[in-house]
Amino acid sequence: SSSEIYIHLSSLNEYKLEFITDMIKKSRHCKPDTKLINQQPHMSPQRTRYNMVTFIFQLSILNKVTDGVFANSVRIYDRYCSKRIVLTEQSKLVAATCLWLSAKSMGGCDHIINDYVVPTGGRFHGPTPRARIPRINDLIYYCGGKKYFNKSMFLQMERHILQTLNWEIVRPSLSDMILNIDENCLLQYEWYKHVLISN
Amino acid sequence: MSSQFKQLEKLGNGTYATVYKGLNKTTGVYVALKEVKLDSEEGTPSTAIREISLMKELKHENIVRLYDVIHTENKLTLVFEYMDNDLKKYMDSLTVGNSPQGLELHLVKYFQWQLLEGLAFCHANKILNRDLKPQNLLINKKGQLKLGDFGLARAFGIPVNTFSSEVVTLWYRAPDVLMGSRTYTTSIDIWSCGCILAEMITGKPLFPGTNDEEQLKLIFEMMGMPTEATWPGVSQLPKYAASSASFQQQHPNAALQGPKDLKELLQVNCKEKLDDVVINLLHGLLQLNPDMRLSAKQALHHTWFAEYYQRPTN
Repeated sequence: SSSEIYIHLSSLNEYKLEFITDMIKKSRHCKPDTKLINQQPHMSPQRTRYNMVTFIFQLSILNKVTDGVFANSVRIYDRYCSKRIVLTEQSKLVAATCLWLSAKSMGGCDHIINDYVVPTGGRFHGPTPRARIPRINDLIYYCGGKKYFNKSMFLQMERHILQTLNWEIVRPSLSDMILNIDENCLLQYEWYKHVLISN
Repeated sequence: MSSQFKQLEKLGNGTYATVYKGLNKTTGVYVALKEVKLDSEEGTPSTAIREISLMKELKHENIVRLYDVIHTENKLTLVFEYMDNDLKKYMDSLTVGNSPQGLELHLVKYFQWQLLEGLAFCHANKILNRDLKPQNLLINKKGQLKLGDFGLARAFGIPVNTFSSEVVTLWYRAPDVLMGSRTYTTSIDIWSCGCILAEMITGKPLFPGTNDEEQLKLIFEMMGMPTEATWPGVSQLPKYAASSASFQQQHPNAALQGPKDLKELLQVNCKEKLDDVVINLLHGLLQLNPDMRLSAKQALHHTWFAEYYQRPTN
């Protein structure tokens, strides 16, 4: 019911300032560095960026991931490119793993708290859709099949990206802010109304 | 990897991870090593990615520090700060014969203060603990208390019908959650804090239910059955109708439906004299309606803690 959500929003409100300060701080800390990305020897952004972003976008449609996963994948890809050299033949592997990580950071079962919302194979009943995590075999297929990549390459790449980014995967970015601004959030409007009336 | 740490005795066995005591060979400092086996299809579990990503940033003196993550092909090891004991074991150790003993009130106050400090920091960082219980509150010989185990062990998988002997405890679970609320928030941790406070005072769990239904029954018997008047929206919760009906059936006499006098009940099991100030705080934490519960910040400003916040810092 929406009254529960009002309560949720009002209790969050008490920490609002801290949230925003913290989000901005963390988001700055994890900013991709365009100067370094421009130095990629094999993957210069002028030539490849359009294709890479398109590829990640296609992957996110094919894998039916939720909103925000795509934007965060590109951000993870850019942050990785700010730190490591990407080889042309591995570029799809890197991009697909970024999407995998991004989907994982937003999905999975972390809402298990009462047996009413337990998504054990069933559907999640919560207020937000549960992000679907792509399967490793699907990713291999969309990257050209087993003759190019196998499971262990994905697992290795995943470890490599996590290490490179120092496990800082769940980090706020512009897309989170956009999803949170009032124009996109009807509930926020309703809540303001609720507060105005009750006062 | 393993060359840096020497693995010592096993400390605990969760459903999803095993915890060992470890020794950092270079520094000689003890650590807690939490090992998770990795699946070759799933790769790094999504919960691990989230938890590690969040915990690495969570630096507070009342939160156990995650020092490092060691990630190999088939194992993920989290290196945590080592703590001597947990609150559950500590309280158990005080038991005389068969009767559990509460902690001294000044210690209760110090622990509760640290618990709320750590929790306020989590909440300000947009993190819910969701599983606060004495077993997860780690303490050391200096009397420090730290929130540990950020649901890590249980977050790695789905803890329904665990086959291990360890039962997922309901004792600290908020009534809104037990009735199937979907939008739980910081207030669920506050309820747990209230249960823990009462338990530290008396040495006994406040609501030791064995299943969801019994848990709700115990809560309502003590705090009274919530109604639309005391908690707007409560009747819309999925399990309200059923729990309300069975409560009415068991307690046909409206006069006995509570709420009961918390002070009287706790005083029976407490050697020191309880004052109204601590009972007032307890009521603030144990409000049935989540909207009425204090926030961690508000609780820290409660008069009971005056001696801490009035002390000039530095």
